[in-house]
Amino acid sequence: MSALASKVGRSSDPLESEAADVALAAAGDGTAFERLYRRHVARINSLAEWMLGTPDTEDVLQDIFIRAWEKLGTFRGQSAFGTWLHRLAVNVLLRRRETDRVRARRYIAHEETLEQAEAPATGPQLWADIETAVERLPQRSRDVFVLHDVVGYKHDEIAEHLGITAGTSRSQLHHARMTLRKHFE
Amino acid sequence: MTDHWTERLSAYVDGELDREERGALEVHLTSCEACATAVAQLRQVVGWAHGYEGKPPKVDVWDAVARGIREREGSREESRHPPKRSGERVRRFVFTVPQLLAAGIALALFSGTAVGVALRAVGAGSGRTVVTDPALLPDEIPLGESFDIDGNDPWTVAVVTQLEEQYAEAIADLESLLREGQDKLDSATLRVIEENLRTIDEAVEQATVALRRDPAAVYLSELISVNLRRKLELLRDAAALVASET
Amino acid sequence: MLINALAGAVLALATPQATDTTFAVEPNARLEIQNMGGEIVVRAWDRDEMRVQGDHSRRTQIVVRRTRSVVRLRARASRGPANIVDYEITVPRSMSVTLSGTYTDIVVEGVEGEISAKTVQGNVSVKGGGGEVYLRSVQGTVTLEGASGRVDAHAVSEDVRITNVSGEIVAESVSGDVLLEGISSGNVDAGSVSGSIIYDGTLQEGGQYTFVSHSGDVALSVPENANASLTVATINGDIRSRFDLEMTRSGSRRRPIFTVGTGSASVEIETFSGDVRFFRPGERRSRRP
Repeated sequence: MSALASKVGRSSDPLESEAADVALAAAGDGTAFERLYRRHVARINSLAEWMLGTPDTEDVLQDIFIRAWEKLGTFRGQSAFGTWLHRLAVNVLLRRRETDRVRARRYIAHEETLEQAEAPATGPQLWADIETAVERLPQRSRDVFVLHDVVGYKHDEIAEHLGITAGTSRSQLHHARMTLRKHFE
Repeated sequence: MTDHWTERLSAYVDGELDREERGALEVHLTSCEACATAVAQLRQVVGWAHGYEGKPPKVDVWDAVARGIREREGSREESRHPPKRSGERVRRFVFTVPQLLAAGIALALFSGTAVGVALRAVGAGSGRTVVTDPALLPDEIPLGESFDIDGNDPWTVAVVTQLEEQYAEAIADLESLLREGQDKLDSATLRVIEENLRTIDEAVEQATVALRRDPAAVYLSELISVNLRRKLELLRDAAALVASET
Repeated sequence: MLINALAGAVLALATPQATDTTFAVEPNARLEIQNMGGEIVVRAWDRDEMRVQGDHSRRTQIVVRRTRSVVRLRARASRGPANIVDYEITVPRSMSVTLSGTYTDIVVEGVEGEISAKTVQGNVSVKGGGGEVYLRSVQGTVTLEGASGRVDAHAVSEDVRITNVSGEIVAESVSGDVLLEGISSGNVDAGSVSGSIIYDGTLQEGGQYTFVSHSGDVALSVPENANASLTVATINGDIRSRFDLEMTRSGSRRRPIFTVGTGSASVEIETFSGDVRFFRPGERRSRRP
């Protein structure tokens, strides 16, 4: 174990041991970074699936974690590592989505948007699980729900990222939550 | 639910109501079961989201991540390599022959002034190659015959590694020739050659970085291969020029 | 002055400041010139003779080395390195020419045999050519018009312009553009690194066309009745078309395939950050993109 690792030791408090892993990884310890990866990959994967609307997330996950490794030096510990990682992931995902959308739009000479249409309001449907229910949300309210409730962005940040107003963000969030609450009846 | 409080329930759960509005809503909740239920459910939704552990990817990508990181570290290491003399740029061969071959890319490799070796994958991904330099063939395979390229076959690996080294060597030889003879060249010519070598190097670098991030974009290796070949041609032109001025 | 051909003869021509001599040659022979500096201009006529005109300094001689199949011209100085020679050669139409120079502009007109013209600093401008046409310049443009046969044209810092040519074409530059117009070919491979590529020519049934640039644009003319599968791969470039393009199911967002007509010709377009544009013949703006 590296000198840094032995100094930091192993803590039973998960947050503290995560902070230790972050310090080790920032110093170049690949094994510590792998621990961070394992701890967060599932959540980041769901984030990616929801935001890209596809289960094919392998290559974007690689992008996210490689970028996280590269940017680790900039993490100052002002928030939880998970929060920092999620925000980094959101940036990668939004950029990827924009690239895909822009490219797709330009294939067609006449104006036709390929953005997903809002799902019709067909009334309450109970999906097999709440994850699927999130997937089935219309894209705009799904985005807002995921960014606000899963990642922890504030409405003005969401508004900036998605190009909407904070008011729209609030109403979309409410709409999403009201749809999802059926799973808790 | 049609009362005007519905829209404020999420804001209430998020603690965004001012004291006055919050008080009014709480009064309302004592008498409206629908709203009270909704608040409880909304809290559950939020709680679920906060604590959501996520669904792991179908395929674990750690190996790919580790590889990507190693490659990045490796190329960063190379670019930090100090120049041997002032003004000298170290140009490194950043893409390996086996990777290009694996993508079914035709490669013509030359060793300095020798005629050269052509390594060709017959049909993308088929992995069969034709080696035309007799020095590289074992005795039992006649010139012109094809053989299966197998990444695990030690002989194939040896051949490919040797070619890779020759390629890097060829570029290094030519660069060194150019360096030594550069004062013999017209300064305009030298500038054009250097500018264009830089253009090629930048293109190779960009495509290499993109390919690492996205190994599925195989066509990028064609871009890289084609540009490396151009670089070699340009270096040979420059070296021939230097030689002719001597 | 007519001089009889003698196999293996070496002729050192007298050294006024201009040389002008004509001699008989085999019509299918090859002319080889290596010139350090100065122009090389080769024209064709219908005689079985070669006329060599050269402007050069007093110290320089033009040396002719001949066999039955090859005529070689070199400059030789009586003292020190050979100076600049401006050549003007007239050859039988069916002759082949192999011309190389360093600080040399090369012009070839009317020759119907194979042409190889290489220079470092100088333009290469060829009209005509058949069989194999190989043109290369490091600092200078490469221009070809009216050839038929297999064309291989390379520039480094300047453009390659090929017009009204039929036959297989390979055309490349590093930082210059590659402009192909009036092309009738079933096999075209055009590439640049930072320059643009413009192709205005046929897309023949079963033909293979490859256009690759790194940061330059690729503009391709697609005739109304064309039958082609256009595969486009780009990382950061836009794809734009002036007419509707149908994307086939076998394509993907990353690498779309557009089918026009029966999809018979195979067109591969690759850029890294350059844009890809499709236009109808004649629609391209006269100003280069």
